Amino acid sequence: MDLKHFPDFYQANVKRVYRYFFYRLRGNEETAQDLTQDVFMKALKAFDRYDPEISQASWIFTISRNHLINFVQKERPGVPLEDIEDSWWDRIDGIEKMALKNDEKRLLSAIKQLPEDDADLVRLKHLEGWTFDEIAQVKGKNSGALRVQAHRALKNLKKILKHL
Amino acid sequence: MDWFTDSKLNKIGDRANPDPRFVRALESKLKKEMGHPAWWIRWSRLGAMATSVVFVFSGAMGAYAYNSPNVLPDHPLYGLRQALERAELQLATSPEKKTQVQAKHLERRIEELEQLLLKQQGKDPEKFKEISDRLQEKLEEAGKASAEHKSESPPNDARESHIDKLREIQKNARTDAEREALENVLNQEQLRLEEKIDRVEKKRDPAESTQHKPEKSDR
Repeated sequence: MDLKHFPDFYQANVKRVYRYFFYRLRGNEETAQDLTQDVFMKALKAFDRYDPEISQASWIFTISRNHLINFVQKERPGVPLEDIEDSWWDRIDGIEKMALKNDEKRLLSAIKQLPEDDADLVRLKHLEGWTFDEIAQVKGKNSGALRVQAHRALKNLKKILKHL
Repeated sequence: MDWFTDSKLNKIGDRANPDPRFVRALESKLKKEMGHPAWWIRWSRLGAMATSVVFVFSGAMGAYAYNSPNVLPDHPLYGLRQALERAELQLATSPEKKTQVQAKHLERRIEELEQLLLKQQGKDPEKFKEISDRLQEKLEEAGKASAEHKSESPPNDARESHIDKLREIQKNARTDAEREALENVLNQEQLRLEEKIDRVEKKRDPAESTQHKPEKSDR
């Protein structure tokens, strides 16, 4: 894609990429910023190969994911990606850094009680801000099916919240 | 999903937003990598361009104000012409140069008044008289300046051309008042011219000076 579109591409994705790292790095702002910068530098160098018609945001999502895997493998060799991706949810310091209110903490606890796939979808969609089409591309699923799954997941979330 | 849960989730998401300063700094860095200059470089370039335009425009306006015969005391750019002339006088380093610049400015004042006379012909007789009086003053001033600086050269073409121009204006005068006003100016100027010629010729050959009068004096 033409480089002149890069500033718009950056504006559309910077928050989501940062949030992706922030959540998975247990709220470590500094590292999240470093990784976000690395990702956009990589994206800039490869921007001529980016075709928004084909990959939309999954392109930057994939670069971010690969970069996070490389980073964690270097820092903590042998840790599987699933553990990295979910690690911040299990660590209290990540939540503390976000200065959440009680009802917000309750909501996060409720998300944790959802089946793993549903919880992941809710986080990607509602906390990180990716669209259904983008998540569908990354996960290799149908976006319509994801909408249905998210709807059911939120219904379950509501039920869990009632019992918390 | 109900709006309450939705808004809570959005709020949690917003708490993980990057620092806006980081977002801006990274954007600048990326633009630099792209070859796009940073915002302050872009603004300074724009500023430099705007300043150049202003300079070129002011320069062109100044050149017009300084040189154009159409810029007379009733013209909006006349103030600029005067300011430029003052600056020119300040920039003259030696007393000789200052005198030359002053003489040049005096010459221009006389030319301006001649132009004003032409413009005023057949309009306001009082104004015409006022301008012709001012012209007479300036011509006197020029005559004195020339005598003070002991110019030994013969009367220059400019003096003669002023007389010719005034005669032309007088010839086309619309009223007797205009003709009369110019008659005074011309007589005075003619007298000064003759005196000057006498002085110069006396210096060249004192014996001849009493026998020959220049053609101009016959007018």
